[in-house]
Amino acid sequence: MESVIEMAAKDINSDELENFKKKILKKALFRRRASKLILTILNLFVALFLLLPLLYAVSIAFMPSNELFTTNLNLIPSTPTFNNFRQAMAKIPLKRFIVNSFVVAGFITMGQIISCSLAAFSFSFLDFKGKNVLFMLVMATMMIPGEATIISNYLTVSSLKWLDTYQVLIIPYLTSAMGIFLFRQFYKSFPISLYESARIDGCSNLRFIYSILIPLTKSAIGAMAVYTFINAWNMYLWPLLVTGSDKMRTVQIGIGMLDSVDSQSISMMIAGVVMIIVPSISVFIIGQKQLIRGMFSGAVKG
Amino acid sequence: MASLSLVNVCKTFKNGQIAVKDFNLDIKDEEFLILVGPSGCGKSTTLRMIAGLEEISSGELWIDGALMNLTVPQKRDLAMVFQSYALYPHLTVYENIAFSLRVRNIPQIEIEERVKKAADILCIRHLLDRKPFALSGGQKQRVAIGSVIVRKPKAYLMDEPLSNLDAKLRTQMRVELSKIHKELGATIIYVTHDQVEAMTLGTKIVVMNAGVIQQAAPPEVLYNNPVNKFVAGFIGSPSMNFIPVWVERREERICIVFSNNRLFLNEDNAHCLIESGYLGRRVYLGIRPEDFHETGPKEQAIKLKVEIKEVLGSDILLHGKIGGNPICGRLKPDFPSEAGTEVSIFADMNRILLFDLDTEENILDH
Ligand SMILES: Nc1ncnc2c1ncn2[C@@H]1O[C@H](COP(=O)(O)OP(=O)(O)O)[C@@H](O)[C@H]1O
Ligand SMILES: [Mg+2]
Repeated sequence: MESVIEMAAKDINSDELENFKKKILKKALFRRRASKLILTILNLFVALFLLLPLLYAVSIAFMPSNELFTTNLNLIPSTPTFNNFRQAMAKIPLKRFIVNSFVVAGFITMGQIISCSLAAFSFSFLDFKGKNVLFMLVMATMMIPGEATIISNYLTVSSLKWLDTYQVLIIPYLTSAMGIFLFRQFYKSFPISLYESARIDGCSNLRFIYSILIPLTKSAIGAMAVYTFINAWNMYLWPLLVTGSDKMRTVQIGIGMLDSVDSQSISMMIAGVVMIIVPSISVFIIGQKQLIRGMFSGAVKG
Repeated sequence: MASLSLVNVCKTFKNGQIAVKDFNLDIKDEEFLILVGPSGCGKSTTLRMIAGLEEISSGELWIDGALMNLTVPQKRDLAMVFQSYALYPHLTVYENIAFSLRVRNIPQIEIEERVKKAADILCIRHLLDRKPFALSGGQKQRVAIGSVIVRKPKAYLMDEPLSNLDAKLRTQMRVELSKIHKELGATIIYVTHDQVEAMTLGTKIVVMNAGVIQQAAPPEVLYNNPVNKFVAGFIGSPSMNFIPVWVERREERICIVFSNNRLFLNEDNAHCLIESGYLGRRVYLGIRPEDFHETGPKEQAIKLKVEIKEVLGSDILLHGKIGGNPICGRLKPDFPSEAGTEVSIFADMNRILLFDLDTEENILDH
């Protein structure tokens, strides 16, 4: 390299050479920065486009009704107000609904993580008779749509006198074939020699799960937790069927109560909606770090 | 430490693959036992059956006088080093080494003492706070060995622990493993496909082929007196030369004849051949590259057309063909030879081996 530069530099003196180098570097730096800037602007633009409906909803939630029902395109409230939120809270016991939803979604998430990861552990690490048949059976349940069983489930829980309670919202959803499947897929890439090594070291299965498997599959657990929580938070048909009183309703049902024939206020409804999507979005934001993190660098060999 | 016994152990996999057949072996206390053989001959399977990771299809496994066939790995009190190292990526080196002790609820103070001691033996004291991803291959290997030597198990099992290291590190770790074996007075069962590793480390070597034990013996015996052609060819590098030859009687002496060469056997070997009725029949002559010499009596000379000459520094290797059989000779570097020329080399007739053409068993009993 050097000789090439020296050869080219033969007929210019060293000062000029320095200047020349500086110029080239400056140019390269400028180019790099410019391309980064363009990418950022493009990203911002796309993000804005995708988020527009959401942002518009937030904006409407702060608008007095009279600003909404005009022929002008009011994207941003000129006189922002909390009135819509206040009205929504007054009309329905939204706080109670949110608490209910949190309790239900929280328990379902915990239950599914525990039951699905344990089931997936047995399917991928243990060896027992009928393992494959059992796994097929579990997978087969995924092919039956939830709506097909909802009536018989309803009859079962009502004969247990469980209607309008927390357990009726939680217990039927404590495990899921999808969760078992996802965890098993994830464990498949787990180096089996770690499990064998732990066993020879005298480690019991439970100990292996909490001191090796869980720390190493945090990202899978995080992903599952976010996915399950949001699904549970958005549950509609089942809660609608099995809860009747305000005490037990979840937000998705409750929000429907904002829409009544006699006093329809779109801005109030949207204020309600904005309030209930805040928790699920925050779960996603908190969880996304876990989603992205990979724990497997240097697990085996190197 | 302990002694192990395998009696008629067989392993048939679910898909019908027979990996180990009729494996009989006694492993004495403090023995450094090597399982060696070509890839796929069932070494790992045997080791995994001892560890309890693979079920024993039939036969018995005894450890210290107790039948262990159905005992779970946790209860066998063995320790194993995996080829892939199997370090826990989320734990520091210290915690990796301490893991098996923590599982056993050993007091903190003792754990610390034992981890430090193991780290000192392996010179990894300065790495204790690192995570595995920040270690080189050789360091990972040391940590993996460290995490088994902190324990005092009945036996150490190692499955090709050095095969991921480069040649230099491998030689270095080999020496260290030998040292550790002496220091700990440990029973070690060590799997490798590398015969050099086997010869240098083992106090007893088991040569396997296609799931069957060929020979179990100390290294010198394997080298000097292999039971069959397979073992003779497997042990030693470059491997032994084999030539089909005729056994004939000439001038009142017994000789072997092959493509214009004639070698006279010594008294013992000649006697042995006549006794077992090989006169006039074809056998395999086996001779190691290092058993060719630059000089010798004329009747031991073999003419070899050199095709390739490899210079190793301390020695040279001459490659050529005799009657279509590849022949390799290891000679002193000052031996005058060039590729393309014909040279005379002299076979050490006291060190030759003869094998039956069909059974491939060793005919001469040294
Ligand atoms: N889980 C298994 N199922 C079926 N066949 C297997 C299994 N594990 C190993 N084998 C077969 O058993 C034979 C011995 O394997 P192994 O003990 O791993 O050989 P190696 O001597 O190279 O360690 C091989 O032919 C291999 O293909
Ligand atoms: Mg193997």
